[in-house]
Amino acid sequence: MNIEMTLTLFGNEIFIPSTIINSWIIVILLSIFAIVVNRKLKKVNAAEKPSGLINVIEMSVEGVQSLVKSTMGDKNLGFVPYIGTLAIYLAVANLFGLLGFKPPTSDYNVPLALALITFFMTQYYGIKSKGLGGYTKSFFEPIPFLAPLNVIGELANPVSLSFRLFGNILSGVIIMGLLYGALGWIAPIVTPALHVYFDLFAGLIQTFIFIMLTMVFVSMAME
Amino acid sequence: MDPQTAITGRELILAASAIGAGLAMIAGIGPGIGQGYAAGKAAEAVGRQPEAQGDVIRTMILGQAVAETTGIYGLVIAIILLFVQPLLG
Amino acid sequence: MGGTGNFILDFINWLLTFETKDLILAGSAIGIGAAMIAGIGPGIGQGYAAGKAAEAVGKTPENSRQITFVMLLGAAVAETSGILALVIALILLFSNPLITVTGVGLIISASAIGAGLSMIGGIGPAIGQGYAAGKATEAVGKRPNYQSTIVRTMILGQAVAQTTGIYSLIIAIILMFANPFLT
Repeated sequence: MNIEMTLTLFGNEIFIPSTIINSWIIVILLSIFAIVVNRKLKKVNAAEKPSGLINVIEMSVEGVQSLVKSTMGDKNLGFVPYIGTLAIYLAVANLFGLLGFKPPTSDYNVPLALALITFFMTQYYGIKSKGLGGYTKSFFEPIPFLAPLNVIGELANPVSLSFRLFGNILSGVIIMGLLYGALGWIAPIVTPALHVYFDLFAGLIQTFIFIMLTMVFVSMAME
Repeated sequence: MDPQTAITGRELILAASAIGAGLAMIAGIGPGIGQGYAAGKAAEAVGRQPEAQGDVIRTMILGQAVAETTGIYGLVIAIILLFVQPLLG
Repeated sequence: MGGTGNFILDFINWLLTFETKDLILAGSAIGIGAAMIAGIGPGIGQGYAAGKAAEAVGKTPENSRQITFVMLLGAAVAETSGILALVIALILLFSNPLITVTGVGLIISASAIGAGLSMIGGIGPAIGQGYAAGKATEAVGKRPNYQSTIVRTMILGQAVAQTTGIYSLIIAIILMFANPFLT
């Protein structure tokens, strides 16, 4: 069951596909979750041992912190909130297929947008840490002759990031859709194992890849 | 001309473009092998010196991104053949 | 030039004497066969991983459980290209999306062939991922307590190696489901 809407704003019709609606649903759900956790955190006594939900949250935050620290170095812990947010959003978005909805990341616009955020982050932090001169100079290393190749390589990063995420999730959606269509009533016997492989395994791995590559690209631009 | 019984040059070019786009993607063999080799050596290096994993992973990703380029070239050519159809003149 | 040109034209005119649907199905058959050539890759890659696992178990039989786990995990990832090619082949075989579209038969048929050819690119990623699996298995055999770090590096590298296979899949999907040559 996928909802799609057509709004009429200022006399123009805007078609909103189901993947964007699903993305909004995820954002709303995650925001509610964040508010609930925030309320619980305020009532927590810092000296006691954490329990239940707070324990899980603390472990997750510490996990993201250690990941950012080992990939980007101690000085770049400021990236932890963005990387954590990206990880949570991507994990939930990719796994949304398990609930029968169309995952937002199966619409090319979503992975493209996220990859472009990474791309602009890379350029911004590269310029910020090396200065505009040093940044342009870095394209001429190690040999000035290779400059066009370096530029193409830099532009290839958002392309490969977005296509990798999009292709993996979309292929899972197509395969599961065809299976359900072709197998009919015996589908529930075969599909759980495939759901685990395509939705759970691939979804989580693609999340991990995306955030790792984001961190690596940004930290390499800052060297 | 009814395209089902006679063919114009335009249709022939588009048919050939479809085959050409498929052929262009065969270039993906190379980066696949190369990036996998990099991954294997990185796993070996991390096994030997786990403290260096940050540097090892960064170097691996950097090398893999360079190896990606010809794969991207193939993809770009395939997409151009399919959507820009420049050979139709 | 005169002789060759006539042969090609004769061939194409002969092809056009058939029904559009038959032409498309014929092209799909070629595409299906071409796609399965991708099976070369997982074979080579997983075989390498298996060999490295056997070697590692021979060196340190006490770690055989972990070694086997890492080998199977890496081999499962290396299987992906083969599975994707199989899926494209099965779609063309049993649920062909191209026989119901409107367009020039020859072009649609060529699109099916192109989609199959595209999946041949899956050979590379599978070989590379298998090599990564083998090296990771070897490393885990030497130092099993670092298994999680080694596996993390392997998975990361393997996922990057998968990318060109995904590109091939996208082109095949475009040719089959979002064909730009339709009228």
